[in-house]
Amino acid sequence: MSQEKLENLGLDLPDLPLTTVGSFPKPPELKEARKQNREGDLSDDDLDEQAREATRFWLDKQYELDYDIYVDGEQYRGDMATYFAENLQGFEIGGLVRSYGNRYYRKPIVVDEIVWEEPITVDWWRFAQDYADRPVKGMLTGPYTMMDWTFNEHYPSRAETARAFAAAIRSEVEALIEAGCKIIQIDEPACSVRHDEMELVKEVVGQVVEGQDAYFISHICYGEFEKIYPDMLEIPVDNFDLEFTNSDLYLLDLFRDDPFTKDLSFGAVDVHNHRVESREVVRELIEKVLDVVPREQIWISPDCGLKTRTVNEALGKMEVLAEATRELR
Amino acid sequence: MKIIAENHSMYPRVGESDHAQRLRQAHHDFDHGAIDAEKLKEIEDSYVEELIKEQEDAGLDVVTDGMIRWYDHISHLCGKISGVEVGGLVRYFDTNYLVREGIVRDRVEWDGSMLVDQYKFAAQVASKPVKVILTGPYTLAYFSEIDDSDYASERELAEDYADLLAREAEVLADSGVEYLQIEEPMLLQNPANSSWVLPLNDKIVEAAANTEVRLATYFGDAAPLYDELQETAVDMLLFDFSYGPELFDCIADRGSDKRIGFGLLDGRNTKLATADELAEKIEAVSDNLTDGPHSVSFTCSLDYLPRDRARLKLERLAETRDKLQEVLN
Ligand SMILES: [Zn+2]
Repeated sequence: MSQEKLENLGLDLPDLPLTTVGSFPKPPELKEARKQNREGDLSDDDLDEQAREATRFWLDKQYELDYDIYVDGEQYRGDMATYFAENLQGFEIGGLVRSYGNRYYRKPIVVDEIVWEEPITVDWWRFAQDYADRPVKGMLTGPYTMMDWTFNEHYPSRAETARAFAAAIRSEVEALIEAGCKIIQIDEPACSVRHDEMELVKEVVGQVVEGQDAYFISHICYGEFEKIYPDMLEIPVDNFDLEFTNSDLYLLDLFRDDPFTKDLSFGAVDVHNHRVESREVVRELIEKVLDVVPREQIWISPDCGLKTRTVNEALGKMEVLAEATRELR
Repeated sequence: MKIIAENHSMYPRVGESDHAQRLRQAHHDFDHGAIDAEKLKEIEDSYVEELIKEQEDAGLDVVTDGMIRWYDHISHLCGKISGVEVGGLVRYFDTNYLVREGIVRDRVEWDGSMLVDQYKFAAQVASKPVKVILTGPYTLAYFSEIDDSDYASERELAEDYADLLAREAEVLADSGVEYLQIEEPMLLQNPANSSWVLPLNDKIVEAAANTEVRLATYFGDAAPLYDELQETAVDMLLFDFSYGPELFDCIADRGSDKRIGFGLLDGRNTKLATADELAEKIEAVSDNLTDGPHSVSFTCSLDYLPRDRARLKLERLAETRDKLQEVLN
């Protein structure tokens, strides 16, 4: 089913396609530039130029390491929810909220009708795709996660808020497809948290992708999968990108009981650990999934976005992932 | 019928100004060795004083110290209990908020008071009574990983936690604490365990002689446990009313021998309900209640909100109390 879809889209991928989840670390110069921009000491144009330079750097690295599906690395984004809130109408970027310990972030507030006015990610996607020789994924935060990660003062319920986000994100998907994007990732990391809302997740993701001509991936992480599996297979995407290094592989036991029916981007390096895994460890991990899920359904990727690692750690993890994958081809 | 305005538990510990960020800065400096523990405590003290004043200025009748010395609901206590170490980050229920779990290495034992000094400081700077919060034994046990074969089950661990929390409650009562709150959000996730959890809570209530004890449940609908909760030894049931209308039906149908804490103002969303609509809900069941005093409060901790919005909620709480006093008397 998915293979056919990929062929129809003109995508010819190798055995065990290699990709990453989406974000890469920002080089120290770019971090500094973002700080200067916030403080008014650097123009938006100058910051954009630096983000473009960092994007080219990461595209070069994906080329050198021979990845099959590229990402732009999100060098121009801050937080994955706030980035879209800042670029849609209807939001106020609220005050600081604690996430744990002494860590804080700004949680957006929906204060008015959510309106998509113009493409948000398309220029960046086009920039990356023009530079790259291989398909670049479009990267969006899903409607359910956007809802769960924002305060809502406008809509009467969580469901209504999620539907409003879905309409906006659908417009962005249409714009990406029109620009030529064929693989679009809609991240829903929040969807495994309230398992009683799985029906809503299915509905609003469906609202985004229904009738749209692209191959859809969804990344989901740090949740209680046993509570949403196999129900989550009904989320209408083609490929789930899931983490495995932190799950003690209990997910594979779930897949033995209820076969995994979609394509699977198998997260095989840990993004929360500074240490780069050995090639043997990564290869053994991938071999385990190959015992359980048919090979033609498997893609290979890290557990999650690499943005919390240093540039060198991220490159080290990408390299070992690529080497282990090639050994298995 | 008498009604008071009562803070729930935590209050945001960061704001927008440098002054409001001094505690965050102090933690940062402390972590980097730039200030010592004494200096950190000095800043914590001044922050507690400021937050108590903020609550009193808003018109609250019962305040807390904002729990700003707590890293979170779990590790603050676990770090002071003999036999437990503080572990890694885990999600706190369905929030986007992480707490550090306890790692149980040995029999858990009371190792000197965990909260008396904090209470004494707060009481000395407050002109209103200061409520003290204890995470309940079941919730504490759920967020503790048992790394010791002595405990065969979560229940056994909870029983020992209950004993040491009872000891703490006794010491707190001796220090003059008038209002004590036991928090058992976990109870709503696994209501089937109420038959053994509620007697553990009662142990703590009995140890806290001459103290008014609240049992706070949140992040779920307490209606299915309503009758059982009425049989406990606590003085007040502080409910989260944001999970469905059934709790109000329970009060309307069956009345309440207990005082009720009306956790009505949403601690997890910035939206601000009007004093009229809030007061109306309580007024509708006022004939089914004792003379009180009952409380109007928040659904949960306010640590999920930005500080400016939390401040607005405090004011709205006091307005709601005033409104009710007007219509009920
Ligand atoms: Zn992730």
